[in-house]
Amino acid sequence: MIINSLLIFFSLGVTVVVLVPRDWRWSIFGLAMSYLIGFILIVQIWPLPLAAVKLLSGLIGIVILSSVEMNTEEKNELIGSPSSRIFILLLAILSWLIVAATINRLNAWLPIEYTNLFIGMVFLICGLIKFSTDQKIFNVVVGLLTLLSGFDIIYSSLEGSALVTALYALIVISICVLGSYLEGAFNEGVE
Amino acid sequence: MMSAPFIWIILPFLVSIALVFARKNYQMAALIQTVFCLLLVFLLLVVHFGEFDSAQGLSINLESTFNFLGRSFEFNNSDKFIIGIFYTVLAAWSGTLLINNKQSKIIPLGLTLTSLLLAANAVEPFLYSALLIEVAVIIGSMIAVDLNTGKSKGIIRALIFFTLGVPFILLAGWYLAGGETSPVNDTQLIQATVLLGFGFVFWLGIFPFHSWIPLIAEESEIPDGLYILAILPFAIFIILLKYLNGFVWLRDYDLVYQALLLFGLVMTFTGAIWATFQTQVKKLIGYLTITYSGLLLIALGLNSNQGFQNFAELLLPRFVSLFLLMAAFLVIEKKNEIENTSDLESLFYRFPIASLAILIALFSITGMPLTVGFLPVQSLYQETAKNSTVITGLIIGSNALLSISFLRIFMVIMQPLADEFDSVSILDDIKENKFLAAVLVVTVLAGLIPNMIFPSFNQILKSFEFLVR
Repeated sequence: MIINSLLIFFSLGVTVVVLVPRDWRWSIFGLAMSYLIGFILIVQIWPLPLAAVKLLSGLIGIVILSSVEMNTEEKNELIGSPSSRIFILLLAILSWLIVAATINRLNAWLPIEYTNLFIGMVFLICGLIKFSTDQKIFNVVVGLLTLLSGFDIIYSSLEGSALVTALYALIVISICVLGSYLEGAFNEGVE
Repeated sequence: MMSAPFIWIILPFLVSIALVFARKNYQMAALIQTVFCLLLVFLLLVVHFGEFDSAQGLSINLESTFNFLGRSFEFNNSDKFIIGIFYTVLAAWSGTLLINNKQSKIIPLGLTLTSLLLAANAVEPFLYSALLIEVAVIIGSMIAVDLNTGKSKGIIRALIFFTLGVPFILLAGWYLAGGETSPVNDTQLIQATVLLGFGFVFWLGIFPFHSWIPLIAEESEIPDGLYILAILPFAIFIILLKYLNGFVWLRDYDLVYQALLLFGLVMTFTGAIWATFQTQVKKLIGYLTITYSGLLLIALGLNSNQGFQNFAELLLPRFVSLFLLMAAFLVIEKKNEIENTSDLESLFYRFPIASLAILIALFSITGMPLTVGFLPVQSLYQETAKNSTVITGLIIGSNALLSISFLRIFMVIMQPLADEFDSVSILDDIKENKFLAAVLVVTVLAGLIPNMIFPSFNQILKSFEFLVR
C-alpha cells in the first residue's frame, strides 16, 4: 500500500521531469523512470522475463535516441520561455486533477489495480501534452513513448501475451529508430 | 508441411532483409522484388490452404496456420484474393520503379510493409492486429521520408495519429472479446463502438485527423507517397471489415453503419472541396485519396449486399488511378519538374501518353462514363439513392466539383504550345512510354468491358461471410 502510494507520487514527479525542463537529458531521464515504474508495476502481475523485456526495450530505445541527440547537441538551442514552462507545468497539474477526479469511474469500467490505472493514465496524458506542445521531432518521439508506456501499464494489466510483449518492444525500438533517423537527417535546420 | 502464412508473411520479410544487402545493385534488387511478388501472386492460383481437396488435381496443399509466440497467423482460401491484391500492387510499383530506374525505399521495404500488413490481417486473435499496424506504419514512414524535401511534418503526424488509434482499437478489442460469443448490453456496445470509432477515425484519416494524408503526399517522392496512400488505407479497411464480420453484436448494430455513412460523407465532401481549390499537384492527389476513402466508407455504411459489392468494385479504380498517376509522373519527372497545376501547361504536346494517363486517372476517380470508375460509382449512386437522395446529392455534388476542377486541368494540359518550347521526343523514353501505354490500354478496356475484371473483385467479400448475407 505504502509502496503503491509512493509510486503514484513518484510518477507525478516523473511527468514533471518529462514535461518541464528544456534540456533533452531530463526528458530522457524522465522517460527511463517511466519505464522503471512500469516495470515495477507489471512485474507484480506478469512473469519477470516478460516484464523485463518491456524495460529493456524501453532502455534500448532511450540509448538509440540519446546517441543521436548527443551528436547534434551543439546545434540544439534551448527553446521556450519560462512562462511556457510554467504553462506546461500547470497543464500537467490540471491533467493530474482530471485523472484523480475520473479514476474511480474509469476503474469501474477497467477492472485493474487502482495504482496501475492511475499511473498509466498520468503517463498517457503526460505523453499527449508532450507531443502536443512541441514540434521538435525528439520531443514528439519522447511524448509518443511516454504515452505508449502509460497505455502499456494499463493494457498489460488487462491482457498478457508473449506476442503482445514482442510487438510492443518492436514498436518502441522502431519508433526510436525512426525518430533518431528523422532527427539525424533533418538536424541541419531545413524545417 | 509448409504453411501459407510462412510463405506470404515470413518469407517476404526474409527476402526483404536479404534485398537490403543486395540494394547496391538497385536494378537487380528491383527485378528480384518484382519477380518474387509476381511469383507469390502466381502461387496463389495453384495452392490450396487447409484440408486437401482431392477433386483439385493440380492443387498444392499448404497448412493454413503458423504458430508464433503462443499465437497463430491464419490464412483461409477466401483470403487469397486479398493477399493477391497486396502483392500485385507491390509488383506493379516495383516493376514501374525498375522500368523507370527510379531509386525508392519501396525496394526492399515494400516487402516488409506488405508482410506486416498481411500479418495484421492474419493474426489470431485479431485484436492484436492494431500492434502490427503500428509497426507497419513505422515502416511506411521510413518509406515515405524524402530527405531531399527536408520535411517530416506529415510523417510525424501520421505516426501520432496512428499511435493514438492503437489504444482505442486494442481496448475496443478487449472489450468486445467478451461479446464474441455471449451478448453484450447496450451500454457496453455503445462504449465499444465509440472506442472502435475513435480508433478508425484516427487510422483512416477522417476529418479533422486527415492532415497527414496531403502532407505525406506533398513531402514524399511520388511513388513512395502514393504507394503508402494506396496500400495503408486498404489494409485498414480490411481490418475494419474483419471487426464487423467477427463480432455479431457489432455488425447488427445500426449506429455503426450510420457512423460509417456520416464519416464517409464528411471525407468525400471535404476532400472534394480541398482538392478543387488545391494548386499543388501532390497535395491534390492526397485530397483525392481522402475523397475516395470517403466513397468506400459510404459503400460500407449502406449495410447491404450491393453496398459491400460496391466497396469491392470501388477498389479497382482506386488502385488503377493511383498507379497511373504514379507511372505518368515518373515519366514526366525525368524531364520536367511538376509542382503546381500550372506546370502541367501544354503537357500533352510533350508527354502525350503520360498526359492521357493523368487525365484518365483523374476522371476515373469521379466515375466519368467510359472510364474504369464509371461502373462502381454509378452503382454507388443507385444504391445510396435507395436510402437517401441527400446522400446521393452530396456524392454527386462532390464528384461534380472534382470534375470541374479536372476539366480545368484538362484545359491546362491541352493548352497549345508557346512559340518557344523544349521539344521532347516520345522516343526518348520509349520503354517507359510503351509500358505506360500498355497499362493505359488495359485501364480503358477495363472501363469499356466492365465484366472483364470487376466480377473477380467481389471475391474480396468471401473473407467476410457473416457480413455479406
